[in-house]
Amino acid sequence: MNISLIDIEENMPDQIIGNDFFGEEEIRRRNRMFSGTSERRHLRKGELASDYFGVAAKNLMERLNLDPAKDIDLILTNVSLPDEAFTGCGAVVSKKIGARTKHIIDMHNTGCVSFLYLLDVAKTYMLAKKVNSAIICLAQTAAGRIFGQEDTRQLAQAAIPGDGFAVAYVTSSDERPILSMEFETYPENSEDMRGNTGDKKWWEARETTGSIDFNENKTAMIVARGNKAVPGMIKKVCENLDMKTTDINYLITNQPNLNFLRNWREATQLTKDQHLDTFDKYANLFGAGIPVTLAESIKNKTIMPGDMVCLAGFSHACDYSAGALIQWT
Amino acid sequence: MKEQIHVSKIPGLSRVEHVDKHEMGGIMADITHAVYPHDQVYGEYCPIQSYINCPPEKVFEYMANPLSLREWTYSMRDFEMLSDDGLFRGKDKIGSNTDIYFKVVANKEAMVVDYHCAWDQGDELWMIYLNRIIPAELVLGKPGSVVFWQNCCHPNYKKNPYPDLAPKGRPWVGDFWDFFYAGHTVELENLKRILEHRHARDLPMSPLAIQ
Repeated sequence: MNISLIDIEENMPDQIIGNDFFGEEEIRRRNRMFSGTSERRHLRKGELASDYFGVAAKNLMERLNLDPAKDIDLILTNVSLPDEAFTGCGAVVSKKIGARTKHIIDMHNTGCVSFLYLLDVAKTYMLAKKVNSAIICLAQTAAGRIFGQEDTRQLAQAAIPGDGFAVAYVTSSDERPILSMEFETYPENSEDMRGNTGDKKWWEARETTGSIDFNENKTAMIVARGNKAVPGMIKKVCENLDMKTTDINYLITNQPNLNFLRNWREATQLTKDQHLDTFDKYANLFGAGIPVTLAESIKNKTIMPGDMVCLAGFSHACDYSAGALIQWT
Repeated sequence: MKEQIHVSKIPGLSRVEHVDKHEMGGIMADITHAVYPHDQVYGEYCPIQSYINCPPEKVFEYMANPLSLREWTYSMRDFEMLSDDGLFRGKDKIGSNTDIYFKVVANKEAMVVDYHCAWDQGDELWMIYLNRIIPAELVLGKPGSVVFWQNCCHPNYKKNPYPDLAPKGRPWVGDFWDFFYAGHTVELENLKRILEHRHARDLPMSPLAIQ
């Protein structure tokens, strides 16, 4: 028995934000860490991740001719900046699509590689024979919610995040198997990316929106970590199958900036055409990046039956990394 | 004094007497990769090099002058000489309010110019930048110079030996080791451009006295 990725649907906010929305244009132009995007999507005020998931899940179930009430045993979600602080949105999604699953898990960590971690959770439930099918819902919501605000859009970093959503349907079957998965955690790096809300904690009353801060003193080390961790994961999943990285037909990684994308394909000896991304139009989609690019690449028929597809990435300042290989049948 | 032993008694050597050329071919193919991870190439040592279209004597003269560092380094400025043996103190503007202490140790016969430096104190100059200047005529068959610039990752890069002397909140120089290849490449390009500019126009080579 294997876990199969049956289908995947992306759902993007219709609000397109161009580069001129953001401040510090000069810094963005001169600093390559903050450049390379033409536009990105932003959630509007009041919009919910659960709504986007609901629409994507309904489209997916209709396309597969499945009944949400019967054909989903498990709902898994990851939302970068959640709709609600306490409750998670998995149960809300279930309500909106008319599902009645045995299990719902809202997972908050593993950022840009959350799709892979949630695939592993689904696989584990399936191996334990607790479920036969699952939807995996990935959302990046921090762009509109944080960087669409008046006081934060002036920052150079504000142009980099973009919002996006994807829902994948997986089953316990050999239909389109995930052949190899690898994971690693690096707790020593766990505090190098944090929310910055000045001298107030994020739950305390304050006048500013806040932003996301990487430890700038550790920029060199964070770049080095990402350069090493992601090719390492790609090599590991290939070695598990006695493959070389050059046997991969398509690679999809998280998309923090153009430098990382270049370095990862150089390290794995893949061409630019083989390394798929949506960075120019959607910017950094965090955990939604890998599934959104995968969904688009299937729809536009870039990925075709027979292709060996590798998914890989790292999260935050490199506290988690992961890789997976899927034979597209 | 102990008796010398023949090298064939030293384990682990690959010499033609014991490793034939077919076996050697396999060893070399195994060592040769298509790509090398950054930290494998620049993790312990950071060697860079450049061709400079300027005669080796002029390159040596310029590099051996401590004041030249104000011109071609990215961030070393505001020098003052502290002692007759050539110890200087300056500001390294890459770290806010950071003092950098340094000495130039040069040998004209060997055409080497080494910079012995340290942040925050001048008693132990452990950040050592090793430079060798070679006539390009010898190695590339054309006029000019080749400069080899080497750094070794001293354990102090991993851990500041004098944390009490560091300005509060200032990142440690060793946190940037992974950017040394990039930073030094930019600075070596500065050196090349300055030397080629002055040599091509037959200008005085020495650094300007004013900053």
